[in-house]
Amino acid sequence: MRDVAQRVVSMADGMGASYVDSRVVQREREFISVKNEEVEVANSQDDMGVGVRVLVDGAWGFASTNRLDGRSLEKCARRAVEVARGGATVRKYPVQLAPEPEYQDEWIRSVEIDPFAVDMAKKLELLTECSKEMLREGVGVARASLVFERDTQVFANSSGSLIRQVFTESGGSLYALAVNGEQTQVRTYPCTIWHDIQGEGWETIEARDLLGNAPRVASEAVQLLSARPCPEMTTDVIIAPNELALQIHESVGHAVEADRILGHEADFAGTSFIDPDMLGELRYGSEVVNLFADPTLPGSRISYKYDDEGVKAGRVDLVRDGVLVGLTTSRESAHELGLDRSGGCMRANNFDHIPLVRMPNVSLEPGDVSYEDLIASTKKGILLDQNRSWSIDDRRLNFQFGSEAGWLIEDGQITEMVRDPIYADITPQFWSKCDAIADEDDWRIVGYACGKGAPSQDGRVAHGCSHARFTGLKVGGKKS
Amino acid sequence: MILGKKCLQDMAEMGLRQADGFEAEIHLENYNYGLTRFSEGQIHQNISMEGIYVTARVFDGRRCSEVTARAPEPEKVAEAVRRAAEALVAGAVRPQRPLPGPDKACSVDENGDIPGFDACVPENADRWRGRVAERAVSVIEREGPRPFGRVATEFSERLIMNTAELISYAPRTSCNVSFTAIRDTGYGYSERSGFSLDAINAGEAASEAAGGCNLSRDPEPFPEGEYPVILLPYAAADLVSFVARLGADGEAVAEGRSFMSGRAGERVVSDLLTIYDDGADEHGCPILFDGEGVRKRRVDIISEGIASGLLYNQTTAAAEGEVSTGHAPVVRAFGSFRGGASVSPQNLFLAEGDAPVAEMIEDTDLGLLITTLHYTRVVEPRDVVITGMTRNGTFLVRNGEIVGPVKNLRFTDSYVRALNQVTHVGSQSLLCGEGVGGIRVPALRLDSLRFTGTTEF
Ligand SMILES: [Zn+2]
Repeated sequence: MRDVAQRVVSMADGMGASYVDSRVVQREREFISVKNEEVEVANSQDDMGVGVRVLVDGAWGFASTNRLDGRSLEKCARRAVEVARGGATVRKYPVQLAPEPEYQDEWIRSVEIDPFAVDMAKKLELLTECSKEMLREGVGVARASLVFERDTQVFANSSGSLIRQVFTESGGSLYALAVNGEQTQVRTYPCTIWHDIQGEGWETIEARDLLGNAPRVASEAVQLLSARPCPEMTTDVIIAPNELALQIHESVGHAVEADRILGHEADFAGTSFIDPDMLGELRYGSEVVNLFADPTLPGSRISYKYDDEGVKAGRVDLVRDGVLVGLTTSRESAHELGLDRSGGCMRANNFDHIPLVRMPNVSLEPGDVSYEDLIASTKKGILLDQNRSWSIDDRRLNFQFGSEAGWLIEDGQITEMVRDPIYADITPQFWSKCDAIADEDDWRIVGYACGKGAPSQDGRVAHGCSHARFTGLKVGGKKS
Repeated sequence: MILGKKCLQDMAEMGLRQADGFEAEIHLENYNYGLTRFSEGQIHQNISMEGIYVTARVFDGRRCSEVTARAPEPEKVAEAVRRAAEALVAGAVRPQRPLPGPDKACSVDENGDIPGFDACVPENADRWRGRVAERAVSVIEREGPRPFGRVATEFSERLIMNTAELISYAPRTSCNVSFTAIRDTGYGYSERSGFSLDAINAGEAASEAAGGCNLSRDPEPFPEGEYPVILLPYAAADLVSFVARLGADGEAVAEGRSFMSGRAGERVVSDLLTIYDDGADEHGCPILFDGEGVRKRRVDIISEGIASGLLYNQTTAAAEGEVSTGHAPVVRAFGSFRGGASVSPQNLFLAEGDAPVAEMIEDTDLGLLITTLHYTRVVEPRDVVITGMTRNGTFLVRNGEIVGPVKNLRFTDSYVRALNQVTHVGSQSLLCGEGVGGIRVPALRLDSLRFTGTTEF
């Protein structure tokens, strides 16, 4: 793999590119899903190829192929150089990159139990049992899924970097859909549709006790059918980590991406309400809100030592004491923003895509109150669990989130379960309502996926957070 | 490069010989995808991807296993089948899925006249994208706004072969452009799709985006509430797409998850609406056969407001005593882990009506004209309750005239309810949507859509 990565770099280099990088990725993947005790999917995948990115006359070009013989590599390098030349005709200024040292290094994410070494029969048995446990009166769909992935990746560039990294990840989830002819209700565990994938091995599947949770997930889905709709009210809202993670993702993670801020996604996903001039000035949230990006957090599916531009990763503060202080960047955007160095946030989904600015573990720092005290100190409110729907505008301001279930809180006690809760707000106003965040004991990393870019890349993301409380937030039931 | 039927067939045959007496199915896709994106008039992304995917599925009565690989050479195909056959031992119960047999209509001669294929695309794709981007940038800049956009080309060939002697083969092409024009507070948008390069008039599309942008500057705030709306085709496509995808899935209907559950033959939306899926219609980007190699039949999902047809794949059809309509999703094997729907209407059409947009405006006392809908998500699938934002130009219509732009609004409403409010169907449809297939719709006027929030821009 090292050989292929370096060869294609020197080929493109010889064709007139001023900068070249390449990534060779070998991917193994397993996705198994059982629905109503029958196997829906039992798919294993095996993939390898190379992507080469070049700068020619100050314009980007990229080509990829899964043919790795010498002739095909040369053709791939030539295609990258040719598309760059084609693009150079529509150019106002040459692309420039923030400087980065060269590295020769290797980093392997260690896991306790290799998930690919676990017998397929054992995996299928677990899922079939879970599905059987969930399939009860009122449940129409009882689905259990497992996913495993391993990428072995070599990065090389024309500055002399050569970096090998290995990423292993595992996820698994339960989904129960209850139907009664008038409505459908869903409960999931531990995470809506992304299987809460972690940068760990089979041990993470054992730790989440899918089988033990199956009866609860199913019975809550059925209970929701007869629960009353969430009342319309302005109240204190405590958001659970599996829902808050997506809130962070949509209203912070995407908003602070330098490529969106600079307009690179304006034709598609949109831009951001943030302007680079707002750094150090914009009040993003209340004083208890501290947010950061840290690609080096252990146990997360997105964690890495070097990003896909060969930049050594480190922590970047985004919001400090409620004020915007940082952005997620690439080498190109760091240069455009006048920064010394890239924040090391570039990731590509597989060899055949270009790297994009991604949100490496964009997380909310824990507070100092225990989860129990957070609930106990809430006089009147609602606890929201698990995202069911999400939508946000193209500048990341106006959002509306729906949850699977809500539990009313009266005098510090969790009381009645309600269905179809929805809350909506404007990003900085929402984060300014945050008055308390649960402590480190409650803090966890939630594994997600994110569709970004064109062609869309289903990228790895994860967000760390604990339960957090937002005062005076408007909530209501489903509107139709 | 298009390899041709024989080349792919040789690879697939070599694979099927490894099936070891099991039933087996092989999918091969040889693809090339190119994309050029520009921002502020500068190309910032220019890519060219190619590769061959193989997916091998092996069946044994009620067991099934599947292996996917990106496979440049025939040995890889054979290896995928061998691995799938080995893994079958561990396979668990799965509903019986009868393998489809051969259908001559699904295997085209690549040297003949092929629906949905333009040989100019493989020859000129990279150069064409650059030229189109250049033209769009110059047209939009000349009219004032800053240009953003993307130009995509795709050519591919798919072959599906199984042990029941099915051989389905077809190459196809698609081209798509979308332009966004921005000028201080103004936004404009346009989109064009087709399977041939000639179908795309980039200059006209760029001018549409620039014009919309210039009209939408300095929007006024407008309160949430329930209003009549005129949806340009980009926005109307979202309603038709969600209603067809969530409603017409035969399995969802059987499981009580669809608004069409138990309502076959009843009126479910306005009688002005006829929605169908047709993989052969060259007004879209034709797809001859589905992800199982079965010929895509035209399905009239809604005929003049009446729930009339559902979509099936081999498995869901067998479960309901129906015949597959050829709607198993055509997806690349390296998709997401999110799990997909069992069927996918990838060539949707909303039949044209007789109302020009100008007439819709004239017939509106107070309402909104909406260019596109953004980030639309399902709040409740059964009633197709969707939330999302307006984007790229929202205009106030008063006393039969457009009076000016308004700030974007959030809506939350049942699309089924909304499609019961249709008063006018546009006389001119537009092919929307990127990638596989597409959705061809005219503009729509609805008597009501519910807006639940406002923005500052
Ligand atoms: Zn995202």
